[in-house]
Amino acid sequence: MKYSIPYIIYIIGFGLIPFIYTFLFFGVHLSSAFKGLSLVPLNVIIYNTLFFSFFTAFFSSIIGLILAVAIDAIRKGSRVLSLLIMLPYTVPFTSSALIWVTSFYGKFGWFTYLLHINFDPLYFPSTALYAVTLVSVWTSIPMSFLIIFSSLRSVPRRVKEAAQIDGLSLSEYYFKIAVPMVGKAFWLSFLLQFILALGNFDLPFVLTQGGPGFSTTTLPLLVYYEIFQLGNFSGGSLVAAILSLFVTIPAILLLLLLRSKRSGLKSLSIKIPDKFFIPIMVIVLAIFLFFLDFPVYWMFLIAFRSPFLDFRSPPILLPEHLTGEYFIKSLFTSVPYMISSIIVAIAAATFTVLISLPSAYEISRGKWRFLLPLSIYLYSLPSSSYIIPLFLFFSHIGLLNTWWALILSTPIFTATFAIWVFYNYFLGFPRAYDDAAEVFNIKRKLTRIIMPLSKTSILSLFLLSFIFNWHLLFYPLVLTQTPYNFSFPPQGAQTITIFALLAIGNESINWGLLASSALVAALPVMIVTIISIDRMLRSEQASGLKFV
Amino acid sequence: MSVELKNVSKRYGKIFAIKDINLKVDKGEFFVLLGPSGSGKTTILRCIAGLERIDEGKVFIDNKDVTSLPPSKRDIAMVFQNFALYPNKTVYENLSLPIENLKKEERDEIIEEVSKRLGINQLLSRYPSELSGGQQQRVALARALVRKPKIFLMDEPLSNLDAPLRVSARKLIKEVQMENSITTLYVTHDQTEAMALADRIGIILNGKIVQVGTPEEIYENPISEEVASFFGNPPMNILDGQIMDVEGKIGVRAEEIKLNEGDFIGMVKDIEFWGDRYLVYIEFNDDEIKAFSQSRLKIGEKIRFSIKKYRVLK
Repeated sequence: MKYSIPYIIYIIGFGLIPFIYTFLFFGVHLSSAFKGLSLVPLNVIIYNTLFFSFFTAFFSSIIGLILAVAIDAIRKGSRVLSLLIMLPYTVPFTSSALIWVTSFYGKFGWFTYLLHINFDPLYFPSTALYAVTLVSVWTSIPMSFLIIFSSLRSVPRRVKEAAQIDGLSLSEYYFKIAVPMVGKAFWLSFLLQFILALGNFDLPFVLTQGGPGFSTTTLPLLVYYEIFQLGNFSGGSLVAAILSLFVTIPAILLLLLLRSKRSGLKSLSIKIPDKFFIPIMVIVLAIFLFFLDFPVYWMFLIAFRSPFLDFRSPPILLPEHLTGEYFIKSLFTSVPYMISSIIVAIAAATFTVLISLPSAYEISRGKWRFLLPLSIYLYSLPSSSYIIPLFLFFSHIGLLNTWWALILSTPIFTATFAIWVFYNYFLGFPRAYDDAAEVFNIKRKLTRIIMPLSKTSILSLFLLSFIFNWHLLFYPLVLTQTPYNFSFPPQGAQTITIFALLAIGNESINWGLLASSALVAALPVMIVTIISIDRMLRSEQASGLKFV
Repeated sequence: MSVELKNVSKRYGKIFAIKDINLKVDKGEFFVLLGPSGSGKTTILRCIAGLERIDEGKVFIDNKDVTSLPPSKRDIAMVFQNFALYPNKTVYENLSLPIENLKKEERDEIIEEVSKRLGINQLLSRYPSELSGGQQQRVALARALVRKPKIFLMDEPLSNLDAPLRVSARKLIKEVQMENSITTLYVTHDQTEAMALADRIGIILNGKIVQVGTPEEIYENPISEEVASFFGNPPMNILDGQIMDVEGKIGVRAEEIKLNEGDFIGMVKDIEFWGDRYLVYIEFNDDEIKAFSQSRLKIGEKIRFSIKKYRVLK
């Protein structure tokens, strides 16, 4: 009973109340809310949002599925190959966007050069949305792959052996048996990516600031502009409310999916002889690995070389004239931002685990059942659904531009996610342990028995929350104004993603500084992420994580 | 201490897991709840333990109404199917958790006494994962004993053990129960276990207690066709009464059929070697009859048999 109370108080205070307030806010100022919107082409923005989200979800899930099949079929080196596929996930959105800004730079950028595109697609209204969506697909493939791959790996070995004995070829095994078995994971990936893309502020903001014109403006960006460019809070809440309603539909589908027992993927009759199937998979894998990993290599490359090599056509793709000058320079200027990010991410991750574990345990034992769908729904909502009331609240109590504002507000995403994952973990937790504790009247079973037995899960969720927090751009952008000033009590709380964002002015001058800033922001979390993903890939038991 | 259930029902949604259970287990008695899986026997045990909240009826322990008491207040101890030893605690810690309210010296004394009795006093510093199945089972038994409970509840405590170990573990349970004369409720689906251990057996089918009695009573006179076809190894032959000129069905035990004599003629369909004898399946009219034979018969052979004893089933 009592275990869920801290979590419930938290989600009411930092989730439900801000969410409801967002709706009340524009309702009270209805006329000014609509006035603010009359200045923008709302239909274009809604189209952009849906286009961006649908194709992000569609392509990342399809490619994720193909890659999962390829890795599962090839078998050799699956851990290293999986890590290579996951590489884009390790880079925060802000840094990814910075890398891609230089990759799209007409004949100077590697991507546009290789495809013989002589212009920067981000600068033209007709191509900008495609380019932004492409980057979004790039950042989303790893998560889709991870979800589908872990489901594919949990297909019992017996099933594959039975298929072999029945004389099915590898391609038939995958298309007829294995892929339909992971249908639920595929749709989970699709809906989750769709939901996350609907609320994605970071990528379009860093890549194009919504331009040229309104050609890449999506609803989350519009919320930001309404507030901080037009000063129209009621207009901003109206947009946030519209966006929340948009998210509600896939969120409900997601909840239905999690309850359903059906797979949702049809079996396909595709038969490719084994001697072709594996080579085809290897080629497909190689092409996607290049697409996924080259940008990360490119970030390291231009961060560590002399800038006179940068604006060349054709672009120089091999390392030469290496120098650590820009990286060191970035590293030093990043220190105050880095401190804020580390402190906020550790504190928020700790807080996340502390409030969500006891509650998830209780939910898995049949109490407060409704908290699970509620948590998944709150997790689905984009950050802009909460931001306006939170901004007003923190400015009212004078916590704006402090670590506290971030530590208190960001766990709404990680704690709700943690409830979901912990819940799945505790479902597999032997019920008899609880019964024995009750029969033998064992006190403090949460700290003495349940927590020690969930160590792996706790660590995984701590790391995931840490990573998520490190990636955040929208909340820090709104809730902080200055970097940490080394005083006590601490003032200023801009995070490392903002530090990277500030480098955007360098895109036409100095790629070394730009890429170094992106790298400095990414490197610590890249290491943490690679460690956590490696734990996940080794086994479900080793990480205590389960998606479906 | 006695245990009594009065009109106890438990539902999951609209489905009754157990319905209108009435049962009285006397002080010091070893009572076995026997039923196939899904019959509700474990639910009855969990209701007595207080792990399930019952929807209707009352539970009495020692004539005291405990229906609304939590498990820890019911003076019971339980041995779980997979033992439920805490993997992050040593054997000593597992044994001391239930008696934490006592002083350290008292605890140590009890643990020493119990662990010596069960032959696990050398294992106190080990973790459960470092123990064999039989040792884990002893620890689980010890954990239940240290509380000096009035009632022992056991939920298929032997099902995780290998067959040879089961026999010795069974004996140990019976010994411990008799030494301490603890009222015991024991759940199993294994009739050999039930017959070996029980003072009385309650047969549970589809959430109801259909027959209560000593093992011998139930073996001799199963109350219904359902019980007859479930109890005993092999289960009773259930035949059309016409062959003995009676109405309805009759039940005949395999040992009550005498081969190579009498007027009935059937055909040997299959035989199984049972160690000291053979079990023979005989095709007769449209029934299949199980009987014992001292020699290996040939499949397809015609055989004569007679029925020495039978009872009419409801």
